[in-house]
Order: sequence, then structure tokens, then C-alpha cells
Amino acid sequence: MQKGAEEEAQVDPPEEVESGEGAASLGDQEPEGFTFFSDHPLLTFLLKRLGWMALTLWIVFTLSFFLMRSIPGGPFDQEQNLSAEVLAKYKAAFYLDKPLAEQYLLHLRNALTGDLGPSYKMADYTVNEIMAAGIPKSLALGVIALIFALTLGITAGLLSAIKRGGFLDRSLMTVATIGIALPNFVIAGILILLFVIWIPIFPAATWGDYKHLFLPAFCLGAPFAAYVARLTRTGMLDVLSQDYIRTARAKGLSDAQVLVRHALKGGLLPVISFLGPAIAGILTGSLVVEKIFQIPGLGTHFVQAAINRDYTLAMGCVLLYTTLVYVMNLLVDIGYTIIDPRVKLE
Amino acid sequence: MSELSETVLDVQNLRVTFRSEDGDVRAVRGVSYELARGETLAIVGESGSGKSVTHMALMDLLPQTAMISADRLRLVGRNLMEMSPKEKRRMRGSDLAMIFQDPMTSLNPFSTLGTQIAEMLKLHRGLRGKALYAAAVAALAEVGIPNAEDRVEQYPHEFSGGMRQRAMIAMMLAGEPEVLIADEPTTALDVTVQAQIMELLAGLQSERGMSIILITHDLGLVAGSSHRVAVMYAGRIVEMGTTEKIFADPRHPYTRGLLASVPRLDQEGGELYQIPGTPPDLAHLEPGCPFRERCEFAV
Repeated sequence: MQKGAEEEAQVDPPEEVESGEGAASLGDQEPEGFTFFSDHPLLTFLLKRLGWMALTLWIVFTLSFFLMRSIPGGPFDQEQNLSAEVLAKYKAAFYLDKPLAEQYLLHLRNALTGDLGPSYKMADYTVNEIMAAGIPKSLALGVIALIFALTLGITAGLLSAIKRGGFLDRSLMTVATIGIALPNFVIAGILILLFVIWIPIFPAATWGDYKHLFLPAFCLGAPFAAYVARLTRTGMLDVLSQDYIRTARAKGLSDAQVLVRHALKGGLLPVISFLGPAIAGILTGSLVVEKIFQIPGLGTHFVQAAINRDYTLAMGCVLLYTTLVYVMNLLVDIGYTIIDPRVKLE
Repeated sequence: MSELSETVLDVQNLRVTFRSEDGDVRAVRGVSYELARGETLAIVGESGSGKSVTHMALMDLLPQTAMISADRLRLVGRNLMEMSPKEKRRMRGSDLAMIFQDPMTSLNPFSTLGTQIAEMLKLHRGLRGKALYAAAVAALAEVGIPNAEDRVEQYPHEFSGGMRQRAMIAMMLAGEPEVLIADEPTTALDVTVQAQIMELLAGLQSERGMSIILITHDLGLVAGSSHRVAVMYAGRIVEMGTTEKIFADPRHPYTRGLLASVPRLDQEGGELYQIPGTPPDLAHLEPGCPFRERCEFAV
């Protein structure tokens, strides 16, 4: 699909209009795949969703492209000592001398081939290189924050549900409420004060060994841990009052067996549903945390790119986040059908 | 039915009280009965009469707020009052089993029926591996579920209401209980399916020689399927006797009221009788007969 669009585009620039529609029509092609793979529900589902993802990415690309360029200012505005000649060369290299519509088509063509172009601000590097350097750091941070949010959140939620109404339940839920209410830059400040200045066991910022990840991951994960705790508690309390839990007890199972074999699956469903948005939130939330802790991950680049009008780099970040959020939600949907047999893929 | 000799369940003066902010709710106020091997005892009464609570207490399934006391609670010769929580747990499902009203919500929607039945076979009969699987299939087949080999792999939502209740029965009988408490087993089912389920229970009962406690408010169900009837009102058994006697010669005005409020096919239309008023507040019972406010014979 992408190759076809690329070749088409290279023959003759005016025909590049086709390539834009080509991306859009990826979604329309699904009925064909649907009939062909009709006896493989998962494959049909994946093809359909990938089609929608392509369409979404194209819309996001288009909106971001025009929105970014409609903001006053351009990538080279601050560099006042550029001669007119150099500026013209720059502009030619980045298609900035061409009409907006043509710029759009050229960028779209490049994006379809997987080339997001050079960074406008860090001209020695391509957007792909900058993102490749940032992704591992942001990913490490996000994954640790997520693991932290899930283990802490689920444990606290389970304890609360089992000991509902008691002192432990009330204290845990109070902490959780505070955790949800506090923005993570406030948590960051408190953590730095506690564990960097008063008890200096962690480094304050920048990127290095695992010690550098601890505070920012905690900071990033804390609000999600709090939210997961509340969701787990509500979910478990709901399930524990169900008739089939009474049945499980009537069978002669121990409390622990009832909890693990009969209550856990249903009780954690709300948490599973929340995972999609949570991962999205952790990724976008890392913009702030990375900035505070000076981690050279994607978030830092994203913020800088927007400020500097680094059109290509900002576009790269936008597309990457869109893809991630989409894929995560897809995985959550598939996970849901594995856990709950009443839910079918469609 | 003549040799109803050996007592499997002996309940004497069972009381259940719930602590609440509104005062103590005395849900069960001294229930006594004996259940013979192979017998079906119907417990009849309207909602809130204490018929379910009595048996949830026997199963030890009531919440912590319930206070249970009795002069005697014996199940096949063992004293339930002296059992540790662990022993009570072992008794559940093996000696004393219970099936519930709504088979849709009473089965775990997240696991297959095979898994849910196998859990019982593993726990109470120690089966493992291939024998376990075979026994689960056999259990489903025994309650009249066709294609049991395929059905064990299915989830509750893939079963019809009647089939679900059959599966529930298969599951709860997997531990080979002495006594089965059936708490409104057909209330959620339509009439033709009700008859099939009662027939199934009767068949299984005569095969296994187990005793059944049938909790219901449906006197029609009682007439065809039980040996004796106990009528409960406000936490007490107000009348108990053989089914024939209760239907032919009810003594308590509440029993008469219940019988009069059953719709009958052999009588011409008219308005259906209903017992006036509502059951008393069990938190604030006054001395004397709790039925007197609703009784047509009260002066």
C-alpha cells in the first residue's frame, strides 16, 4: 500500500493527491479483508482496526500539519544572523519555499515512506534519529511507572476491598484521593525535597543508571497508582457482592480461593479498561516529568519542538503518540475478550 | 416413602439475629425440625419469613453481623455448633449443598462450566487429570444436558436458563451431599422448565437417597414434590405436617391464607384472595402472635 502510493507520487507531483486519498482509502478496503478472513475473528478484527488506525494517523497528520503552521512564527525566526542566502537554502531544503499545499503533499509522501525528514532545529539529525534516541528512555520511564502504578494500586485496592470500612481501608483511600488530586509536578517537588535534599539517596535529575529512574517513575506513576487503587476497590466490592461469590463459598472454597479463583477476574476488569487511557496518560504525562527531571526522552523533545516550531520533530512525536495510544487500546480490547468470555471482538 | 426413619438433619431452636443500628432484627426466632434420609421437606412462606436465612445459617453463609444460636444442630450425627470454621467449610458442598434461585447470576460468568464443576470434584472427591475431566462430563450428562463433552467447554451465558439450573445442580451434587438445600430453584424459570427441573431433582434424589429442603413460596410446586411442609412466618415455623394434611386440613390462619391465594384452574375467575397487610417489622416485634394484625380470626 505504502509502496504503491510512493511510486505513484514519484511519477508526477500533481498526482500526489492520490497518495493522500490512498491513505484514507485504507479504511475503506476493510470489507474485502472482512469477507476473506471471515472465519478468523481475530485477524478480521486486527485488519479492521489497523485500517482505522491508518485513517486516524492521516487525519492527525493533516490536522497537526496545518495547525502547526497556522501558529505565528517559524522555525528560523530567532536566528537573526542568517544571511538571506543561507535562509533561502534552508527553506529550499525544508520545502518552505513552496506553497503550503505542495509542502503538505511532499511531507505526506515522505511520511508514507517512513521518512519524517530532518529536524528543523537540530539539522544534523533526522527526526527518526532523534526519536530513536529518545524512545528507549521514555519507554523505560513509562514501563517502570506503569509497573509501579499497577502493583501498588492493585495491592492497595485489594487490601481496601477485603478490609472495607476499616482503618486500613480509610487510610489507603485517603492517600489515594490525595494521589489523584496532586499534580505530578507537586509530587516531584516533594520527592526531590525528601529524597534528594533532606535524605540524599537519589540523584536530583538527568539520565544515568537505574537510580535516576526511581524518582521520576514514582512521580509519573503515583496518580495512576491512586486511580488504580480506587478502581480495584470498587471493582472488587462490586464482584464480592455478586451471587456467584456466594455460590463459590457454598462450594466449600476457602476465602483465599474464592478471592483468587472467582473474584479477581471480574474485579480487575475496570482496571483493564483503564489501562488504555492510563498508558496514554503516562506517555503524555511524561512530558512534564521529563522536563522536571531533565531526562532526554521524547517528552522533552516534544515540548522543545513545539516551542521552537520544529515542525518535523513535533509531527514525529504526534504520530508516535497517536500510534502508541491506538495500539495500547487495541491490546486492551483484545485482553478484555480473553478475560471476559461474554465480550466478542467486532 | 414409608421408611423415613434415619434423621440426617436435626435443627432445634435455631435463632438468627442481625445487629443493626435500628435495633436487633430477629430474623429467625426458634426454628426446629428434623429431616429424614430421602425426605423432601418444603419450607414455605412469603419474603422475609426467614426461610432463606435459616438455611444460609446452616450453610454458614451469613455475614459476620449475624448472631446464630441453637439448642441443637446436627448433620448426619455431627454437631455443627462445635465445628471450627475450617470444618464448616469442608462440610459445605460435601455433606450439605445448596442451589440458588437465579442460575444466571449464581454461576461465575468468567469460567467454563467444566471448570466450575471440576472445582467441586477436585475439592470434595480429590479427582485429578483425565478422571476429573471425565467426571465433569458425566456430571453434566447426568442432569440431562445433551452433548456434555462440548458443553463442558462453554460459559454460563451460552446456556439457557433451564440448562444453567441443570448445570448448577450438577455442580452442587458433585460433592455427593447428604442434604441439598434448594433455595427457590425454579423461581427464575418458566413454568414448563420448572416442571423439568423438579422432575430432575426427584430423580436424582431417589437414585442417591439424599434429602432435599425445598425453599419456595410456590405452593403448586410443594404439592407435587414434597413429603412434608413447614410453613414459616416472621421467623418461626407456624405449622408443619405431611403435604396431604397441610393441603387438606390447614390449621393456622396464615397457612389457610396462603392456600387461598393460590390461583386454581378448577375454579371460576373472580378476584384472587390475598392476605391483607404486610409482614411485621422483625426489629420491633411485640409480644403475642405476630400474625394477629393480618388475621381474620383475631378479635
